[in-house]
Amino acid sequence: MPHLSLGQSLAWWRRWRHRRPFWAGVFTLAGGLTIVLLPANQFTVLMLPGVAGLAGFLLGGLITAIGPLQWFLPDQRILLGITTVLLALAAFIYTNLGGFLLGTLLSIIGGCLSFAWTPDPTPPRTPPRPRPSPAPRARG
Amino acid sequence: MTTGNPTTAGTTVTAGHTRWRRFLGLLTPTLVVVVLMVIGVLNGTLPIAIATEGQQRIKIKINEMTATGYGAFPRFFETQDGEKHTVVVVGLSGVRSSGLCGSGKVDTPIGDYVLRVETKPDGQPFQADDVKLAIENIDGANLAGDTLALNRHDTNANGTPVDSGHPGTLPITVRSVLLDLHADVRWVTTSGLKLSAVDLTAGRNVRECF
Repeated sequence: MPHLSLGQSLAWWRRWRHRRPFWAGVFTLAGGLTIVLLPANQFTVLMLPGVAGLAGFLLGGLITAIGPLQWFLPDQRILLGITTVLLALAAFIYTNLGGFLLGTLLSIIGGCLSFAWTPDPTPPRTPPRPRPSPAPRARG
Repeated sequence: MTTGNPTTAGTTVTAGHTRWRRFLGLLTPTLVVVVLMVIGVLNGTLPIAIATEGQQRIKIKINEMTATGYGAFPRFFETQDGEKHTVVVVGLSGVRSSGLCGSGKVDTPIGDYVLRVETKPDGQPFQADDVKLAIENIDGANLAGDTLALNRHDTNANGTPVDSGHPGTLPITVRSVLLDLHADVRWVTTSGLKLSAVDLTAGRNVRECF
């Protein structure tokens, strides 16, 4: 197992982030957790058997699960992004205004970031050219 | 530094970045939908599901109801913060009611929200096999009505009331009653509920029963 120095770890971490819609996952995860957790310390006044109490866990849980999926399945970023946005809109109606709007907005930002993340065109393979000095670049 | 490439699982994954125009292309219509939904909720045209806490004002209007009360017993109710609340659970069984209207008002961050359940005037009576209400405290209860009879459900042939309930239960007969209850209700459960003839409306511009 290679022992990575701090600089190497940071470089690995930076490369890991740049190869996937990282911030999309962060926002989606935060939005999903907000939807799950915000209503949790409250209680339902009228419990109708069915979806009333479950919707928060269902929609919030799905959005929370999609966050890491955006990291580990970056090829599916468009599908995952649109699904996140639709789930976030549904959460607004079915669960406490989607974590009192905060969770819905975070999830929508996450979904849109995932939708908008695009891999750079692959560089030509043949010459093992050294990467140019890591110029600071606007990242999502 | 550039050659130490750790193994990456994704084969097609390369470095990428966010295309902000694409981002706005999805974000803009979504935010339009969100704004429309917020407007819909504020107007009361869009139904939402909300779970909230706090004081409930429950108003019940009953034209005619029969039920069997099978007891009021204390229980504990634990909220997510670990706090235990003592509640009194009121159990009713065999509820049949016509001309029933119940409404509850909830304070939410966007204003009062009213849930109203009403039986249709010419519909079947509202029926439920088992209703339990867990009441934490009652601040004010106003009761006005024509008839409230406890354990006078049945009379024998010559008109003498007879004890008709099962042991330990209390038959209740109610006519034209207005019940205005300001209480913390922790939960309500029903079973064997027949809602076929019931209008259920909720929203900000829904009126309470009275």
